[in-house]
Order: sequence, then C-alpha cells, then structure tokens
Amino acid sequence: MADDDEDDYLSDKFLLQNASASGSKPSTYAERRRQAQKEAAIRNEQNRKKSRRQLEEESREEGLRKSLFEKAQEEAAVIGTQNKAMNMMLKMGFKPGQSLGRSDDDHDDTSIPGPSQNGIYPEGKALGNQDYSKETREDRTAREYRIKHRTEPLPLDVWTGKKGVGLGKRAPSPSALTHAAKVAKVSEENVKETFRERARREFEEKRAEGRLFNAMKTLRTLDEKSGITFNIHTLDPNDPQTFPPDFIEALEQDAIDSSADLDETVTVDPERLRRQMRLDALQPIQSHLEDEGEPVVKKPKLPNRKYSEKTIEDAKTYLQLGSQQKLVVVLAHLRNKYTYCFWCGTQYDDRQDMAANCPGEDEEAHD
Amino acid sequence: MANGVTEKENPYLAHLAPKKRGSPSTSTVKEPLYGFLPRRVTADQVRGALEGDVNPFTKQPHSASYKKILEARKKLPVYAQMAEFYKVFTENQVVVMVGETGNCSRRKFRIPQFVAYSDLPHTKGKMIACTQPRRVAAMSVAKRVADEMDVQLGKQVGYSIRFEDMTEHGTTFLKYMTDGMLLREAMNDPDLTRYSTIILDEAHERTLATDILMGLLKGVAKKRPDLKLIVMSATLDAVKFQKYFGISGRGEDGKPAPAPLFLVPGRTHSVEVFYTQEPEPDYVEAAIRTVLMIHRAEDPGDVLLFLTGEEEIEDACRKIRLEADDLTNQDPDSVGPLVCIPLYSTLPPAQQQRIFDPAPSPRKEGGPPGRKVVIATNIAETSLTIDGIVYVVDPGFSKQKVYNPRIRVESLLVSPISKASAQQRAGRAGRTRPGKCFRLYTEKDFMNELEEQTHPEILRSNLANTVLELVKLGIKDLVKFDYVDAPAPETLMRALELLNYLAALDDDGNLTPLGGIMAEFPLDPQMAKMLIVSPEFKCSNEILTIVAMLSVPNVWLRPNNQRKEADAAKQLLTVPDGDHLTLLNVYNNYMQNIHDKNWAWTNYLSARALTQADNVRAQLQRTMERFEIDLISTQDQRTFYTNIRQALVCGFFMQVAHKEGEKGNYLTVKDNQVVGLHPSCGLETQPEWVIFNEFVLTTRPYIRTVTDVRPEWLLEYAGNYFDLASFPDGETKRALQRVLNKKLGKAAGRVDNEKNGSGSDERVKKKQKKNKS
Repeated sequence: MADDDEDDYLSDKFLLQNASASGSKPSTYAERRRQAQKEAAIRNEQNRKKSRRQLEEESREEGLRKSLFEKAQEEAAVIGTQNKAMNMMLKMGFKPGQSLGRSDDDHDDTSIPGPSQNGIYPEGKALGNQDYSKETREDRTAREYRIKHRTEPLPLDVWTGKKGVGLGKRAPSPSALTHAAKVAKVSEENVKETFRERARREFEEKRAEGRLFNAMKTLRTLDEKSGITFNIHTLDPNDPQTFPPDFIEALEQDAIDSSADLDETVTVDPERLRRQMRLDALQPIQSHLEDEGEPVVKKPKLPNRKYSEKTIEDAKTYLQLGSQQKLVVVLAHLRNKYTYCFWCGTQYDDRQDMAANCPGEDEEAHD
Repeated sequence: MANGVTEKENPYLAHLAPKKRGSPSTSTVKEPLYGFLPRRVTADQVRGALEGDVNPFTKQPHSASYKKILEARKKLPVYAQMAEFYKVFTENQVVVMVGETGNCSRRKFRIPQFVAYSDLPHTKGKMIACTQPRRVAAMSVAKRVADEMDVQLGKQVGYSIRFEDMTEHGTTFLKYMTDGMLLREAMNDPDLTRYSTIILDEAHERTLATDILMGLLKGVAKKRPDLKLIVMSATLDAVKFQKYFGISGRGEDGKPAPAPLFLVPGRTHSVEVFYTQEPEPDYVEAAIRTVLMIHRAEDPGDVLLFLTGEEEIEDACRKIRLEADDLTNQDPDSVGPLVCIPLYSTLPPAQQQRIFDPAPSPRKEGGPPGRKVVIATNIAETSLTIDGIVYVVDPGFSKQKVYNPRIRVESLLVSPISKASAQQRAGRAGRTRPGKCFRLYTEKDFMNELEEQTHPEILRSNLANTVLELVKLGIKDLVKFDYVDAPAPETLMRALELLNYLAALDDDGNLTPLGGIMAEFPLDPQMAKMLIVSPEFKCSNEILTIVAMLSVPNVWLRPNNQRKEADAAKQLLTVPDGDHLTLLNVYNNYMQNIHDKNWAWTNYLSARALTQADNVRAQLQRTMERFEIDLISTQDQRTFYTNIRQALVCGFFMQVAHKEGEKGNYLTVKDNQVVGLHPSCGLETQPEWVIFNEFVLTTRPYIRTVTDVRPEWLLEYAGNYFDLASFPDGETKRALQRVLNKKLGKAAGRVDNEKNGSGSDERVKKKQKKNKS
C-alpha cells in the first residue's frame, strides 16, 4: 500500500502541495499524515471496487467463451471419463455443432396459401404456383420461413445506462470498420506462425505503414481542399500534431465514462427538463423529437457536442487497427468520398468515371 | 313459466325439416340440441340454440341477463363469421386462427363456445380445453364465458391453474387452463384422451409450455384423428404455425399441406408512427418529455408509456406528476389535470385495477380535459388491454429474462425490443380511435438495430423442469423432438446433467422411480428432490414450508417511502444462518398470527403472497401424501436448523458458492463466476460455503436466497458432484481437499483413540457421543 503512494519526487505534485500547505490547510505533520492516510484508504477502496467489477466481468467472459461441449471434451481428455450428460445426448443422436430439433427438409418446400375472400385460406393451394420459377420461390421460402434452429445459446447483452436505441453497446450492423477490427483480432490470434511468415508479415506491415503515411497525406490535402478540418482517418498515433487538443479531451472523457459504474444513472435535472419543455412548447411536434438541438444547460455526461459518440467510438476502433487494416480503411474512404484511387494516384471526376477507368479496388488489380 | 313463449312455434327451427321440428311444446323444451350431429353442426342450428329460451347445457330457462349479453355478442365480427368458422372447423383437423392483437380477448370468449356446440363434448364425456399463458387470464375468461353461457362457474365451464382446480369431474366440458397445467395433465395421459378439441390461445406469445405443447400435440394429432386443434395467434407468427402444423399428407407434391388459416378481421384503427431524428442519450428523460409534450399539445386521449421495470416506472411517475403540476399551475386555462398510473406485475391487484379508472375530469366546467397516463412494463403489450389509449410512447426497451447454460445464470437485463414487439406496442394506440405512436429512436435504428421477433421463451429458459416432464411423458429422443424453435443444445445438456446428478435420470437418460415421483410435483426438480428426501432429516414439514415460500412471489414489501421501517421489520424476522430459514420463520410467525388481520401489513409482508404460500403448501402436502412421504418435525432444538440446512444441500448442491479471499467475493462452484450476495440477503456473516436458490444477473451478478452450509455436507450428500478426481483445479478444489483430508485424518485419529481406550480428550469423547446418537 505504502509503495503505491510514494510519488516521484520530481513531480510537481509536491510543489502544489507546498503551495496549498502554505495556505489555510492544516500544517502539522500529524494532520497531514492523517489526511494522506485517508486519501490512500479512499484510493485503495476505489481500486478494490473496480477490480471486483473487473473480476466479475472477466469471469463471465471466460465462462461464456467456450461451449459446454468443448469444455466437456477437454475435461474428458484430462480425467479419462466422458461427461455423462454429453453421453446421453450423443446417444440420442446429437452431434456437437449441430442444432436440436427435427431437420427441416420435409418442411421446406411447403408453400403458403393465400387468403380467399371470405377469410379462409384454401388448403393445399400454392400462391400463383406455376408462374414463379422454382428458384425464386425457394429463395423466398428460405429467406422468410426456413426453420433455423440455434446451435449456441443466446448471448448476454448488457445495456449500459439509459442510452436510447442506436447508442447502445449492442453489436452494430457490421460496417467496414468493425469488420476490419474483427479481422485484426483474428490475425492476432494466429500466433503460431513460422519464421518466414513472420518475416513476410513484418515486411508487409512496414510497407503498409509507408503507404498509409502517403495515403493520409493525400487525404489531409483533399480534406483541406474541401474544408474538412477533422477526420478520424487522418489521426496518426505517431504524430500528435494530427490530434486536435479538444479531441484528445473527448477521448479521455469517453475512457472515464466507460470505466464509470454501470449502475450510475444520469440524474435528471428538473430545472433543465422544465427549460427544455418550455423550448419544446415553441416548436412544432416533429422537432420535439429531434433531441436537444442546442442544449441551454451543459449536460453532465455529454460535454462534447462537437464529436458525437459515434465519432469517438469509430476513432477508437480505427486507432486499434494495424497499419494494413488502417490502409484498407483509408483507401476505402478516399475512394468513397473523393473518388480518389491511391493505386492510380488519380482523383476521378465521379463514380462513373472511376468505375470506367480505375481497374479495381486493390493493388493486384493495378499490376 | 316459459309456457307463454313455447306455445308458439319456434321460428328459429324453421331451417329444420318439419318432422324434425316436432311439436314445439315438447321437443324443443326438452332438447334444444335436437338434430345436432357432432362436428356436422351448422351455424344456423347454433344460432337457433343460442336464441332459444332454454339453456341447452343445463336444461334450465335462460336468466334475464342472458338475452342482453347475446344481443351485444351478435354485433361482433366473430358472430358474423360463424358459418365460415364451422365450415373450416368441420373440414380440418388443425386450424390456425389469427386476428389483430386487440381482438384476441373477444376471440377467446367466443370460439370455445362455438366449438362446444359443434363437439357436444358433454354427450361423450369429453372436454374442450382452452389454454392461456397466464393464470389470471384463465380465471377471468372462464368467469366471463360462464356468464355468457348462463352457467355456473366451476360446473359446465371451469378453470384449472397450478394450485387451484375449479372444475367438476363429469360436468365440466369447457375448461380454461394455463398451458403449463395441460402439459402436466399430459404426463399422466399422453394422448390427452379426455379432450375432443384443444385450443391454444395466445400462441404468438410463445411461452415455454405452449411451445412444448405444440410439439406434443402435433404428435398426438397424428395418432388421434378425432382430436381437433385450434391455434390462436396474432398475425405475426401465423405462417410459421401453419407450416408447423401441416400434418396431413394431402399436399400436391406429397408433402404435407400447411394448416388452413382462419382470419378474424380486426377492428383496429390506423396508428400514425413518429420517430426521433437522432438517437436519444437518455430514453427515460426523453419519454418524460414526450409525455408532457403530448399532454400540452395533443387532443384529448390517454397515454401509454412503456418502461422496463418497477423502479424506472415509479421514478418516471413521480417526475411526470411534478412537471405536470408545474404546467397546470403556470397555465391553468390551457393545460388540464393529469393522473399518472404505474403498472407492473408485482403491483397488488387492487392497484393494477386503477388503470381502468377514467381520466380525470376538467378542473372546472368547460376547462381543458384531463388525461390519464399509464406507465407500464411490457405486460401492457399483450396481456392487458386498456381502452381509451390514443397515444403510445415507446422508448424501445424491455427487461428480458435470459438463461445462459454456460454459466447457469438467469439474466434479467434491459435490452432493445423486437420489431414485432414495437408493432404490438404501436397497435395499442388504435383501440378506440385513430392514434399516434411516438418511437424514441430513429427509423433507421428501427430497421437495423431491432431484431425481427422476440425470442420465444424456450430459447431463454432453463429447461430442467421441462426435460423432466418430457421424459415422464415418454419422449426419449429430446434431440430430435419436433420443436417449433429448438433450444440451444447446451441448455439441454445442462438439464440432463442436473437431472442425472439428482438421480432423476440414469446414465442412459431413462427415468428412475425417484424421477417419476419428482415429476409429479409442480416444482423445479431441485425442490422436488429436497422434499422427497426431507423425511430422512426429520424436517419434511419445514422443507415443505420453505418450498411453498419459494414458489410464491416475493413476500417482502418495501414501499419507497418506508424502506427503513420495512428493513427493520425484516431484521426482526431474519434468521442469521440463512434466508431459507428466514422464510420458514416468516411463515411460522404468519400462522401464529393468522387471526390478526393486520399482522402481515404491520410487518411489511405481502398478505396475498402469504395466503398463496399457505395454499401452495396445502396443495403440495396432498401430493406428498399421495406418495406416502411422511410429514415429520424434530423436537430437538439443537439439530432443528442444521437438519433443514442438510436437506437443502440434497436438492441444491449444484448451486453452491465458495468465498474467495477476504473481499467477500464468492465464486460459484465449477463455473467459477464471481458473484456477490444479493442486497436482500440476511446473512449475518459471510460464511465460507453457501447454497443459493438463484444466480441472477441484473445490474451485477448476484446470488439470491442464500444459506450457510458446511463443506462436509457437500462431500457427504453430493459426493458425485463434489468428486475431487474430476473437479476443476482452483481455490475451491483445494479448500475441499483440505476438508477431505481433515475428515480422513480425524477418522483415523478416532480409530486410534478407540484402540488405545484412553479417551483423554474431553472434546473427542463428546464428539463420539454425538456421532453415536
């Protein structure tokens, strides 16, 4: 405990302390010591609380990671006897990786009759049957009615706080960015690689880094031309110049928020609510629902209107990527936004132009 | 009495052949159902019988109110469709019926009656069953149908729910019941031979029991061509059911044709849907703002707001009241009075009834009209219908129970609703006139973020109980069972594991005799096991009480403004060794003060839950007597609680947590989940080993209803589960190993002592005595 409290003697903490000590603060050694002890105790308590929650989350993640069948098999390998419950299921004809339930082969092609005038659906009559080619009908069936049973239990989604739909933690629809992040994670797990592979990867990473630098430079120029001052894709961790100071603040704020207590509820300030209502009164209904507009009172939790939560979230994801993935994202951004092809080194007039003249999205197409 | 009427020829029998009509004064009075051929009945015949003066089922003249009810009924769309209904019902074995959700309530009164006229079950000693997902619905619908048919509830029309049977054997032919009850009946009558028609109502809710029933009934219907099935559902899932129940092989291509659909047109009005332009940073605040905006700017009409739980609802109620008062004080001429009514399942029924109160009247004549705001959980989505709602505010969330087999946790978490659910909510606005629905999320998020359908309960539940029931039903192959939606394989594995450790199933998955008895108890298998072994510990009376108390809703009341007093009252009843024992203590005290009407109230206990516990206890006692499980108590005060705790271990040994380190962290045994004791837990200390009734994940992972146990008991009564050879490595295993070593060492030491014959140590002697006695 005591070791944690020892501060670097060069830090300016001591200066500050001295300054305050010279003021009205208690100045005897005993008093200061007591004060320090109290602070240490509080800090300690906080650390402990955090770690408890962390422990809970870690154990949950660990527990949810593996399927029971995997676990049972691992266990069986160690102690030599099969898990009884699993044995029972195997006897019933279960194969790990499959779902339960009858296979839906004999369900599938059944067509669904449409309604007749009096509300009774006639039996055994297909919807306009012969006119549809077999494929479209099957497609439709497959899309809408195929009985697909689960092979895995439902995930446990913890929703944070009182955020509305669209702001929550739940996995968003996969965008290019998150997809790239996933790829990065998978490649991270492939640790068992040969020396040659590693050497090649390192080379590619280096090459990508160089290209990324160039691509970012281009992007910055293009952004400047079109008057954009901030773009998460131009953030370069190696160059602090690329981070606007208030953005760093926003990132820090976000980190604090997300580590804050889950139970923490946003307290509703009645005064603010009332004011907001008065504002609402002056507007037509549609715009009431458009969220705050310009909040009169600064919100405790969302001080950064300039950077939306999504921006920050995206930036975080982006910054975690490796150079190669970053390059892919930046190039995609250049193509989509400025119709600029990095490999051609050309900015096209529009999408059509690009589609006609650029050989393709990746490097190989330009060989 | 009825002579004056019956002298004339009954005009409603005009459709019958003259000779069938017979002399009006004799045959119609005696037999209003004359000429009815079971399952060949036509709508005209039924109309005739309905209009008759004699009740066809009781043979008594109709009461005065009957005609009045009948007149009202004739205006309903279902009544007009009677002919079509009889056509499709007569021609098909399975019919899927859909109607707009709002119409369900009316449908569930009429259709079973129509079926009764067609099946004429009373002539064959059969019954018609109509299942409901909820107890309350089963009771209230049965009551209403009995009124409509002009019979006494519990005679011709009755209901049967867990722990309460309101039917008369041999007389009742129309039986409303919970889906779970029908499933239990199937255990002893797998072909459900006593029923001629089974109606599954509210099938779209997809409760666990309804899902299993559908699987069963599909098989039974194939075996019993005389059994008819009607599946009633909201529109959304109809196609799925039609396909699922395509059992007759009459399709064109040799494959079974889907079951026919019978559509009851709804009487709902259009609902205009509004979305927000941006996602809301705080949905509760946004909801409050929207309600107040509606109150100030929209036409008269009541508001329904959906939130997720009791706390959130009460909180929002308070805030809206405050704000509304402010508004009216500021501007009494344009803003009317507003009442805010909470609605959630744990609310006492009397308070739930408040939602049917009319909106407040204007403060003065001609002033702005009042408005009623109901803030509800998703129980207002399907089960309860509140007339007069014109505006719905939908933040897009609900609390959902999800069981996860990997860590055996029951999570109760707030999560976004499904599209189907959102549509259902919006529909609530159009019950009386065109309405508006305000969705507090963007249209894009509605399209992209929300799932299509709410997951059926079978995907979200622990299946231990269900699996035991299915095995008892004789269904061996649980893997290839024809589920409508199959649960995750791991959930089945957990269920089999539990039942095997409880010795309800042998290693091949066959039901053991013990398992057979366990299945007869309408309880979780752990509790049934505990009850069955309790006589061995001389505490079956006490365990019976504990089980009953665990089977009813929370008995503790904790009103928001009297939390301290409530906690103090609870403290007085708390037994420091465990919450299970506290429950026992509460019940015993309740029985001692049974004549004091205010006792429960003054001790912050729910009188309703306690009465219910008493009922449940009586019911379970009958089951115990049936299997000759003795009811015994010990008089020995020293072992009184210890015995009970040991019996608890015999049922709940798979729900044990071990304290790790000094922080009061508990780890669940084998799954190694870090959990905390639930704040409601009354343990005085933090014992090293505890058993728990539930492991829940709410804001944090908690174990709830916890009792202190000794590790020796775990090793003794659940040696299979605590077999150290197959135990995962870790602190828990080491702790168990220490206990085991000590036990072995002690045993060895004792043998030594006895050999020497020199019991010098007083303590050892005492212990030996204890062991002998």
